[in-house]
Amino acid sequence: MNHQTDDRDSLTAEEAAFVGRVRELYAPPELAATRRAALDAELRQRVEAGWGFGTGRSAWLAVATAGALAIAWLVAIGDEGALTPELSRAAPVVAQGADVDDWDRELFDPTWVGDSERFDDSAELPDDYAAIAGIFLDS
Amino acid sequence: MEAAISLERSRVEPDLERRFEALVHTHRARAQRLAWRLVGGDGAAAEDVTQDAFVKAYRALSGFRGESALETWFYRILVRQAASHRRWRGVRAFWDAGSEIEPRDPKPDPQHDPGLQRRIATALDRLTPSQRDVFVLVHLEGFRLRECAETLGKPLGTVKSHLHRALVTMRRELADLVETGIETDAKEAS
Repeated sequence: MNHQTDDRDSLTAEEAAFVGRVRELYAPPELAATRRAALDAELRQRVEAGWGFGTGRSAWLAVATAGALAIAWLVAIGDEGALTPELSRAAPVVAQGADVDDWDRELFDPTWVGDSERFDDSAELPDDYAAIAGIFLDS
Repeated sequence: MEAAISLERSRVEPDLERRFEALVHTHRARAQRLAWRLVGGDGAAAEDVTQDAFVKAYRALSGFRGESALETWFYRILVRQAASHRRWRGVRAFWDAGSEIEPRDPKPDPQHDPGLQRRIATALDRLTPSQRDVFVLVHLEGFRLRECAETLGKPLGTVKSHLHRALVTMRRELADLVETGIETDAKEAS
């Protein structure tokens, strides 16, 4: 994966200069050897412990889920007539003009199937990707 | 070369484990740089995303059949992890009364102007997620179009389309970047 790819050949000189400038400016500092060793140690610990969630996120998720369930329960017992059959059957809605696209929908809306010709990648991607399909839905 | 990660307790095939160890060893720096660029220049978040991606890759390793490159497979996980992080940051911002959460970088690079980096991050943030991913992977990280398409799970034509639109938008947002070079920093500061 070098930078002299077939993709970059199609850029004009101005475009190439712009991309090169962004690449140069928008780069993180080098990872220090000590920091790298610490990250390796942390990764080793997490892998050997068989526990895969990141810092703080699972706690956030648990709190948010509990809160949402509590609110839903309160709404349900407080106003049983509020949820009409039409609403409860409604499909997930993405606001018109919202800054989401099919990549987001694919990631966060498991019911969304997208355009069959443009985004059905099942015929193009190897089966290896099936192994990671679930890890973003169960975390 | 001493392996960076030891995975003695796993149930993954030893050969695959060795490849994973090598992946961590050889790709950590690049993975972290890619994550940093995808999450808006936030060093701490990039570390979290990279670590989580490595852990998730390891957890899914038993399902890897070698039909694709291990690296490409891993970077797909990383890109999705970064997308999840961005979403999660949005949720946290919502609960924090809508205030934006500033990227936190404990060790900003003195060689690069933070204001300029913030401008680039903002411009990237204005792209759609797909455009941003494609722009970062191809133009900033040097992925080939086919590698990028496989990594993102998108058809080649879609990747090309996103790349074109992303470049047009980025050039419009940062039109002065090449023309005035580093002098842009002074303009930003004022």
